Amino acid sequence: MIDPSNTGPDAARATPLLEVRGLSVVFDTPDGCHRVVDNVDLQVSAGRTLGLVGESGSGKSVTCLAVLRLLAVRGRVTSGEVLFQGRDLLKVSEEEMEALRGCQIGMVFQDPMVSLNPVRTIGWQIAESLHLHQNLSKSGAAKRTLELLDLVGIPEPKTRFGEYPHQFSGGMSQRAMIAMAIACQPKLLIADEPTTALDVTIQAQILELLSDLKKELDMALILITHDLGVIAEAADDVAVMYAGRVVEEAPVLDLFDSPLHHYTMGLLNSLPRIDRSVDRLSAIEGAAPPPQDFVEGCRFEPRCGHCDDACSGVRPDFSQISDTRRVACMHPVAAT
Amino acid sequence: MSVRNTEVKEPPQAGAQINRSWLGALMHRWGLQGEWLVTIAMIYIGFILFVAVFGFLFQPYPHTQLDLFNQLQPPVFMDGGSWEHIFGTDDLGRDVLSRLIRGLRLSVLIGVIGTAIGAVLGSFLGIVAAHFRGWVEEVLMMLVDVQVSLPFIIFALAILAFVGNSLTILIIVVGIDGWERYARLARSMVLSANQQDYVLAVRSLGLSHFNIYRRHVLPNIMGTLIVQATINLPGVILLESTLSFLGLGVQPPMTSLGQILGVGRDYLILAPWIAVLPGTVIFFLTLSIAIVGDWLRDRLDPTLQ
Amino acid sequence: MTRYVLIKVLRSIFTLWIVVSAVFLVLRASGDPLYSVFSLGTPEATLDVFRAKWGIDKSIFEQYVIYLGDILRGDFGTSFFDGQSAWDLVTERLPKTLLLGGTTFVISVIAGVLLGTIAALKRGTVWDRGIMTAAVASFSMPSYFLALLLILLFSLKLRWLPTAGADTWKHLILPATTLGLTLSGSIARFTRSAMLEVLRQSYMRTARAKGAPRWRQIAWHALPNAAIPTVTVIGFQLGWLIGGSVVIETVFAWPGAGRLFITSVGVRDFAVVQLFILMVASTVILANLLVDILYGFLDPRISVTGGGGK
Ligand SMILES: Nc1ncnc2c1ncn2[C@@H]1O[C@H](COP(=O)(O)OP(=O)(O)OP(=O)(O)O)[C@@H](O)[C@H]1O
Ligand code: SF4
Ligand SMILES: [Mg+2]
Repeated sequence: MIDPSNTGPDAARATPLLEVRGLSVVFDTPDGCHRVVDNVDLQVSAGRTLGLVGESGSGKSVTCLAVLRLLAVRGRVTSGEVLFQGRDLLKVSEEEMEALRGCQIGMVFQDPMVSLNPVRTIGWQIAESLHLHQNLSKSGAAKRTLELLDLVGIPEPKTRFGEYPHQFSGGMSQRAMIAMAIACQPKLLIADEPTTALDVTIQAQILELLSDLKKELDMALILITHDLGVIAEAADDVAVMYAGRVVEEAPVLDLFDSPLHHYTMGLLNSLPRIDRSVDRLSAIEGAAPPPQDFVEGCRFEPRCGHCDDACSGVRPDFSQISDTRRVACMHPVAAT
Repeated sequence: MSVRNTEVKEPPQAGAQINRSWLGALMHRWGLQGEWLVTIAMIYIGFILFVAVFGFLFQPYPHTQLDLFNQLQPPVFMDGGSWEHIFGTDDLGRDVLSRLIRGLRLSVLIGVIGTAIGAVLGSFLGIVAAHFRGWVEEVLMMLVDVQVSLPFIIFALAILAFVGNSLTILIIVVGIDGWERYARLARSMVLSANQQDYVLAVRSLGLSHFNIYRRHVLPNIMGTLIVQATINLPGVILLESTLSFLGLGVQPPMTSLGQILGVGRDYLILAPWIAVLPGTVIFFLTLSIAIVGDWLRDRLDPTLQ
Repeated sequence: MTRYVLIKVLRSIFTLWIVVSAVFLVLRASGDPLYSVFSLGTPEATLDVFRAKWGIDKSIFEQYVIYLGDILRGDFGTSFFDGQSAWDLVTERLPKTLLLGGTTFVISVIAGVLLGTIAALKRGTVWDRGIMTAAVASFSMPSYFLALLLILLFSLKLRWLPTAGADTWKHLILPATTLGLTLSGSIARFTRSAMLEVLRQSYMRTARAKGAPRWRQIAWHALPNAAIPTVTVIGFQLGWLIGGSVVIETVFAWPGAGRLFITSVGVRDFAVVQLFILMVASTVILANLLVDILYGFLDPRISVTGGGGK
């Protein structure tokens, strides 16, 4: 399906580890129900990193929460399949799901400071994952926790073990979150904006840490971000999301080389680059729509400079440009 | 309640069906659709207010009139009752319905005035503390600590017994209950309001402190304070009724619901209605106010606890 | 932590001092207590003897100093009525009060926390609505009226339980139920809102993402967090419980300190009323102090920030 020569040396991937097909999520809010994730397809294989990129509110987090069946009460999956190792996670029992979460699939949440329990020590929270999924003695779990703290680069693990989340800085919390998520050596790690709100040097360290871990544990990694710089640095494949839909999929180099969707183009243009001074005008005008303002047809249409009547009527279908590239646009960039 | 006027304007048509529809329409207008409990509570409160204000027009006897031939006569719906005394008579042959109407009037009066006193006093102190900060604030918070350290009913009983008892003192004592809640609330709200940009802007325009509070700060915190007052009101009514029940509240010849209950307590076997009737009236009144208060809070001010 | 506790302790002592002074002002400033003991015709000479004996012939300031000194020495005076020491009168009745209050408190806390948690977990269902309606009803009910209704039903109609006294455990049931219903109602309400607040925090989602089963999420992640605000509120409820038990002891003729207080208030027995108020105030202040310290243990964020706690 995907040409290995195009995407990296060791990418022998017959079946992907995780495959999301036609996933739709609806939120029932007091002012109506909104389909914030609409027919999303994704796939990622062991040893690879899928970058999921899009503006705030495009549905990246919701998609991943739906994969782990962690949506808030008023959110529900209305259609689709989530195939993990060939099994549809949307159909398994809650107990089986509990056994998978934290064990086979780890998740690093968007905001580490509020995602850690304030009244439990960091060590306790990491050891809990081990306790839940592995038959370890208390001291065994503690020892492994110290190793994990060390692995994610937290200095003085022994002291840090007994400290509380409020004693941790943002970067350290993020590392602790990662340690918690990889404690049981999951096959898939979902990292939701692991570097947002961190300063640049720490950002780079965390990304490096993630890609090291990925190699070491041969994990599949889904990396959510709205920062194309992060994508360029860490991802193998990219899925671009806009207003609840995936609009373009491509290997990372191709995407930066020749974006096909006008939204991707806009995102790239808003990126400061060495070979070009920042051209404010070329950034996308307007803002991503909230779910209640989603339009029929192409959701990017209100902000697209290349639209015509064809765009506003029906949702653009994906066209398979090559083995590895798909785009959902009536008039893709290369063709115009 | 001004609602009643709008109700009457609906064209009178026959049948219960119609009745339900104008009530439904009214509920909708007040954002009450589906809130049957709240609606019933509001209707009950309206009824109680009506009786408290106009009840004397329907009062069959003076509430102190003795009827020594008809002592402890049961109400009409019990064996041996008569229409002469619909809710029966008490130990001295006084008409229980008449006493209920009079008692209700005083209970509601004390509850409402007391709540108003507490709200105004507490809010004022809170605003003063927030305005002056420093030692004024310290002293106030100290007083709040003291107030919190003593169950109010014990404080009230001691004052009424040792300082003396009159209707005025009773209302004031009952009113003080809960002042510290308003004070805390007003203080913290004014502190945060004072930080707000528009207040700073208005201040720089040279508006006097008084005018700033009156025109800009108060209107902003008023809603929350009123919700708090609604939530406090049942407590004030209960406090008065308890004091009167114990014989240290409203003194004869005046009467209040709690006082009637206090009398009824001694005749629980012979004449349970003397205690049960006023108790039921109080219970449903405080319950209704609590339900409406919760609803108001959820609607207007979810930040309150 | 020590600084935090020290400040709290000092503040508590100061509060207690203000209460002591306020009691003195209110009770002494209210006129000559002798007139409530002796009939009007009693000769002034006799009265003077008693005034001297009870120390109320001196100036108000001297009296205040003597009063403070007495309290510090643990001398709380004698009852104007039967001449017994106020301390003996009150402490004699304390065990019964503690029995009633303690039973009520323990049961109400357990029931309230349990019901509040259930309501929060089953938010929006019949359970939630039922529990919360019952809670509002329970504290809208005048406690003395509930007491009378229970007496009417269980003592007078069914003849299962005694109406008054404190001789057997059967005597305990009705007063404890009356007090406990109201108390558990308000604790349930607070627990529910604290729990709901906690349940929507991100760290609860983290716990789920780890694969923790439901009961573990609640017992190990949610409850310790919800306990922090709930403990404060339960501390405040203690004052309410004492106030309520004064009334309930009277209705059920429970021979405790609360009933003694009501009788003493009725006859303006200064020494007893004063001692009772001081005891209540110290109990509540002490309880709040304990709550503050407990708070420091429950919430790790406090112990590090040291003083103030704000
Ligand atoms: N609990 C919820 N209730 C209602 N709507 C929700 C809820 N959670 C998310 N949404 C809606 O779903 C949409 C997608 O949200 P999501 O969090 O997935 O965005 P995102 O792409 O992760 O953005 P960000 O970069 O800000 O994290 C948003 O419009 C949001 O309003
Ligand atoms: S489908 Fe039309 S509106 Fe949408 S991105 Fe392509 S050209 Fe623009
Ligand atoms: Mg997100």
